[in-house]
Order: sequence, then C-alpha cells, then structure tokens
Amino acid sequence: MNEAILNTILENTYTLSQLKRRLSALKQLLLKEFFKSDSNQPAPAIDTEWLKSLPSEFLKQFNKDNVYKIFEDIESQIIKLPIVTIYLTFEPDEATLSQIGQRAKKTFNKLLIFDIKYDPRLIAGAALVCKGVYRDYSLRSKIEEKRLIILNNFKKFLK
Amino acid sequence: MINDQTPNNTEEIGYAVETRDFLAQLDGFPSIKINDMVVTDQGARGWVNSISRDLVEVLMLDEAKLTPKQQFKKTRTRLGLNVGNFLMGRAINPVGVPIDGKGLLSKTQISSVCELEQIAPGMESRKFISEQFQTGITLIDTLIPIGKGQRELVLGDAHSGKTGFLLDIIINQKNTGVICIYASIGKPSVVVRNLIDVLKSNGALSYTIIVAASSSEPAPLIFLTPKAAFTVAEYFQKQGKDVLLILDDLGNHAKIYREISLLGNKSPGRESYPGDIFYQHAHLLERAGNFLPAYGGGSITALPVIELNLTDFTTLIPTNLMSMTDGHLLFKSSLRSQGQTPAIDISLSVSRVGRQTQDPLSNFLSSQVRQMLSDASDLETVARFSTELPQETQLTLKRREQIMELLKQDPLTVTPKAIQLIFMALPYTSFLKDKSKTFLENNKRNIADAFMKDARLSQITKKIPSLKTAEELIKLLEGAGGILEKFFQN
Amino acid sequence: MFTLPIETIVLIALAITGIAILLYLREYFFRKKNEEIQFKLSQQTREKSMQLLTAAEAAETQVLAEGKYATHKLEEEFKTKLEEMLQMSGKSIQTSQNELTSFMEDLKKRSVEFEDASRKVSEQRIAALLEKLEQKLSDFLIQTEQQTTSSIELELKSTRQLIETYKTQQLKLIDENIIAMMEQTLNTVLGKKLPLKDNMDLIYEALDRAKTDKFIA
Repeated sequence: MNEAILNTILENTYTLSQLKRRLSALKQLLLKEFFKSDSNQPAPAIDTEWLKSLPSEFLKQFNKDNVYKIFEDIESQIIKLPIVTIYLTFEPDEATLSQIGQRAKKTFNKLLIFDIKYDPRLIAGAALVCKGVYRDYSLRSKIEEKRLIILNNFKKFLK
Repeated sequence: MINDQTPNNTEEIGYAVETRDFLAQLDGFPSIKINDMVVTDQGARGWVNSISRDLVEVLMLDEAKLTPKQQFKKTRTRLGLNVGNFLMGRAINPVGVPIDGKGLLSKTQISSVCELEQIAPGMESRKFISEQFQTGITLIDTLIPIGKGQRELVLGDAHSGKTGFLLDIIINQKNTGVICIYASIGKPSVVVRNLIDVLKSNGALSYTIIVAASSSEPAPLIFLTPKAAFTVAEYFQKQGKDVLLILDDLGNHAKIYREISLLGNKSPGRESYPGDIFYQHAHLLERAGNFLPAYGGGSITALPVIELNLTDFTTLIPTNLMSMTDGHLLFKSSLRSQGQTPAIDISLSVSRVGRQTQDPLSNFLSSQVRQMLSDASDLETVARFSTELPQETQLTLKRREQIMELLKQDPLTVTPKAIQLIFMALPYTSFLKDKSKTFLENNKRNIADAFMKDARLSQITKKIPSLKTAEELIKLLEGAGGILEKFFQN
Repeated sequence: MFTLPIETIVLIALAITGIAILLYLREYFFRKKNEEIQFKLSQQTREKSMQLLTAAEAAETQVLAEGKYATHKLEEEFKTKLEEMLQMSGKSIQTSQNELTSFMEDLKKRSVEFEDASRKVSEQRIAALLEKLEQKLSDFLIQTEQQTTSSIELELKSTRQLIETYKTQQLKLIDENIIAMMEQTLNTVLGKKLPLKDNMDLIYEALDRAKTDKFIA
C-alpha cells in the first residue's frame, strides 16, 4: 500500500528537492487535519496546488494511526530510490522541469528521481551521472570530439 | 565492471557526504581502489585511504574547503612519486613537489612514477649482511658497528645530539658512493632550512636527497613522508647503490597517524594509538635491507629516530620500534652535558647484526674494550667507597677513562678506520700508562695526525689492514711508544 | 855413662889428626896430577886449533878464486844473451809497428766508407719518414674535416628538428587557444541566446542517448 502511495506521489514529482518539499507539505496538511497542529510557515503556492490535485481517495488512505508510520516507510523507501544527477546549463522553472521529468520517466523508470545541478561549462544540453559514473552528453563534449574538423574549417575561413 | 579505458566523456564521480578537516567520506566511485587519487573541481587532491560498504574515505593532500555534495572526480593516477636521478641534491615534499626554491626538478629526463605503497620484498631477495657501514665515528664503527642493510634505531631524549650525529654520518659519506636520504617528518620549516644549509656548506648536498613535510602541512601529507622516502630509496637501491635512510622522527609520524585515525572514528587502543600502528611502522621498516643482485643489488640502511622521555622508554612506540629494528643506539642528554659526544650510552646500546660485518681485528679489539668497560663499571661502585685500590683496579679504571676520552669525537670530524683501531689499542700500551686524561684531551688530534703523517708511524698505520689479532697491534704500538714519547717531548 | 881415661882420649885425637893429614896429602898429590894433565890437554888443543885455522885459510882463498872466475864467466854470458834479446825485441817491435800502421790505415778506409754509407741510409730514411708524416697529416686533416662537418650537420639537423617540434607545439597551443576562445564565445552567446526549445531538444537527445547506451538502468 505504501508503494502505491509513493507511486502516486512520484507520478509528477521529478526532482529530489521537489519530492522532499512536497512530502513535507503533505505531512503538514495531514497533521493539520488530524491533530490540528498549525505550523507557522504555510506551504509554498506550487505545492498547495499539487496538494489540491491529489485525488481524495489518496488522502483517505491516511488516518490518525498510520500517518507517522506511513511517512517513515516512505522515507526509508526514498533512500533506496535510483537517483540520477543531471547537470544543466540553466536553472529550469517548474514547467520545463516537469517536461524534462515526464520525458525521463517515459524513457526510463517511472520511479526515477533527478538531482538537478548547474554547470555552465556545458555549453548546451546536459550531462548525466548514474551510480557514480559521469557521462557528458552536452555540446561541449561534441565540440571536443569534433575539434579537429572544426579547427580545419576555421583555418579555411582564416585563409 | 567498468574498466579504466573509458571513453573521453565518461568519468567516475563521487559526492562528499561528510567532511571533517582533511577527511572526506564520499559516495559513488563504483570501481575505485585504495590509493587511487581523486580531485575536486578546484584541483584539491586526495587519496583513497579506506573503502567501506557504501562510503569511500579520502584523505586530502591539499588544504581546501570542502562543501557537502562537492563533486570529486577519479583521476587515472595512483598515489605515487616521480623518481629519477634528478632528485639528487634537492628537497621535495612527499608528493614530489620541490620545496627548496631551485625550480623544476627536471626539464628533460623522463622519470618513472613509483607508487608510494610497495610491499616489502620477501626473504628470497635478501642477502646476508656482511659489509660494514663506515660512519666515520669511532664509537660506532668499533663498539656498536652498523652493517649495510641494517635497521638501527636512534633513541634518545630531547637535546641529546641525535640530529648532529646523523648529520655527521651523512657528511662522512663523502666520496664513498653512498646516497643519503633524510626524511624530516613534521619538523618546523626552519629546521629543514637549517639542515639544507649545513649540508650545503659541508659539501654533502650533492649526494643527499631531503624529503620533508613541515609541521604546517596537512596531516595526511606528513603521514606520507616515510613512504615517499622509502620509495626514493628503493629506486636507487635497484640501481645497485647503497642508500642511507634517516627517518626523523617516527614518534611524530605515530602521533599524526593517531590524529588521522581518531578523526576517522577508528577505535583507539593503547595510549589512544590505533590498533594497526605496529603494522604502519613495521611494513615500512621491512623495506630496508641488503638485496641480492637479481633484485637490483644495493642496500638500504635505515636509521629511524625517536625522541622520548628517558625516564620511561617502555611506552608503546619505542618498544614497538625496538622490536622491529636490528639494534638501537641510546642517547642520553646527561652524557652530553658531561661533554661526551656522541652522547651514546654504550652499555645500553646494541647492534644485533653489526658484529658479523667487522673484520677479525676490530672484533677482537671491540670485545676486549667492551669487557674492560663492563669490568670498570662494576668496579666503579667499589672505587667510590675505598680510598686504597689495588693496582689492577686502578689500571682498569684509568683505561676506561682513557678509552672514553679517545672515543669522544667532535661534530663534523671524521676518523679514518686505521686511526680508530689505533685509538682502541693505545690504552693497552705503556705509552699511555702514565698519561692523564687532560693529556689525551689536548693531544688526541696530534696523536692522530702523527700516525697519519710521520714517516715511521705511518708505516704502522699502513700495516694495520693486514693484522689478524689485537695482540699484534698492541705489540706494534708498544714499539711505536718510544717514537711517540719523543714526539710529545718536543 | 862411663868416663874414658885421658890417655885414650889423647890417642883417639892423635889418630884422627894423623888420618886427616894423610887424606890432605893424598888430595894434594891428586890435584897436582890433575893440573899437569890439564896443562898437557890445553897444549894439545892449541896446536890442533892452529892447524885448523891454517887449513881454513887455505880453503878460503881457493874458494874465493873459484868464485871470481865463475862470476866473470856469468857476466860474459849474460852480456851476450842480453844483446841477442835486444836485437830480437827490436825486430819484433818493428814488425808490430808496421802491422799496426797498416791496420790503422785499413781502419781509416773502412770508417770512411761506413760513414758514407750510413749517411746515405739515414738520408733515405728521413725522406721516407717525412713522406709518411705528410701523408698521415693530410689524412688526419681530411678526416677531422669530415667529422666536424658531419657533426655540425647533425647539430644543425637536431636544432632544426627542435625548432620544428617547437613550432608544432606552439601551433598546437595556438589551436587549443582558438578552440578555447571559440568555446567561451559559444558559451556566452548560446547562454544568452539559445532558445529554450533548442536546449530542451538537446536534453531529450541526451536522455535518449543514455537509454541507448544502457547507461541508466
């Protein structure tokens, strides 16, 4: 059951930070509902939207007793998730992020979670890291591969 | 399994999970091995010290601020050092960077990179130690001889003259073809500078290499110093040369290792040292020895140093080192203040391997002198309580006084082998029977010069290598007694 | 003890004196005889000695005369012999002198010949040596010339090569610089100007490639 909960959450969550934020917002909401504990900080707007988008059956799965336990389980499962670090040349906004995330989830694993890092040295495109191995698929690497050809063309231009 | 021949756009990466000073725990690096080198984006290098199930422990060689989730890349190099003949006369730090301000090490020579961590060669590569290592210091060469390939611990309290003694040995190796390596472990930079200057002014720098990490360097760099020194020594040993290696001092090394281990959460053992402190020193010292020609020939003679509190040398590190070396020399600051240089306590020092390297004449003489010294120390207590002593006791005590005076050697002097033997045998002749200690003090140099330069006496000096027993030498010197008397009357 | 009467005593005394006087007288007559005998003996000896003396004198004169005669004869013999010998030695000295002079002349001739011959030979040898020396010197000079030229050529070649390598290295550096500059310009330009869509396309491409490489499980 917890897996189903996790799957639902992960359906449109794409990055690790997003996931953690959303989980804390969800927890806040549920605790407020069950125990009337009011936190000082309201959840950010995007998250509240997502929370509203959650189906009601989903929320009904939680009740007073199992709230904490479910969250513990989810947290322990998150640790085991495969995380792919992606280096981008820009900081994506939510819309772009969801596009990239959906594409990735389609191509690979639905449960895939990204970790976005910023590296302007890749001129365009992205570099990926999985399980400690770093692969550069960006424009920089392409230029590196073809540098001789580029150089020759350049020289022709000079002459 | 990802092999090393990865295409250009693929590298292995790890992220810092936990950092403490110079220690970083990294996550990632699927195929990394111990002693591989890693580097951050800013260029700060580190090496892999240990690997656990999901974390890699890295010790940083450069001082750098590490942030969480900092990216580390795996380089293709392992922890190693550039070695070559260009190292002679230079001072380097344990990763091969020159620190003496004389510029790049070598512009043209292609050097080999040797790994710092080597397994010591086994028994099949060792040769019996049969050659004596001439230090040029009478006390050592006659009574506590050192062989080529031996490990002799230099033990003593502070300000007992150990460093001066070691410098003398280096300077006395001029024109003998022996290469000297001095590893300065965690000493202040001023001390290292001083050392370089002294060696240079005595013309000893051309055959010496200094491997130094000053006390201001990061602890992992200081920890690597003895390994780097041994790597350099092995390079020269494989060329068939004889190498003298001085590790000053291993007590500092042990303290640094303790610091690193405690930071890495290893369980502390006796005196808070980690459990593998013995292994760290032993596997290092085992790399010294005398090797067969098939394994390069040559030899590495190691002189590890440890400074300790002399009221108690039963603490962990000194006892460890005493059990892994082939003998020790005990320096006492009380002897030094009494004016004896080198300030070695003969009765408490031992050389387990040196006796087999001495020629028969020196062996005879040294056993005779040692016997006499131990008899004299037994009789000393008697002498304090009785005013009238029998002739023989007086003679023994007088001889001991004379021998101790003759064994004193000023710093930066070298005594040739023949003169050493003459000094040992002189107290048994009638020439010195009625001479006082002050006579010897004032005229020791003159006696030595006489035996080297005077025509008749130098004949005796030349005959010495062909003598077989101590009695022959003593007889020859009796004959020379007359000449010596005349010499000193003038 | 018995006492003798005085008359016996006087008788005994007279007897003793009588014996004594008889003995004395005997002695006296003995001595006289002896003296006579001695006197006769001495006379006899004197006569004999006189005889001997005269005999000796006569013998002496005879011997002397004989002696003189002998020496005279010896002298004459000696003289003749000496003269003979002198003559002979004179002759032999002459002959040997002649021989010596002839020998010396012969020697002179020979030495002169020898000198000439040796001079000629040494002249020849010196000439030959000088020739050889010249030859060798010229060979040596040629050789050294060749060697120096070849070594200079080698040096030139190596320096040229060094220059070439340096040139290529520098060119490579310049190339790398060009590329670096290009990368930087691309970076700044694209960073500002690349439309989001193109970037997204590139990212999708990266993901697809990762899939084909089976990079991500």
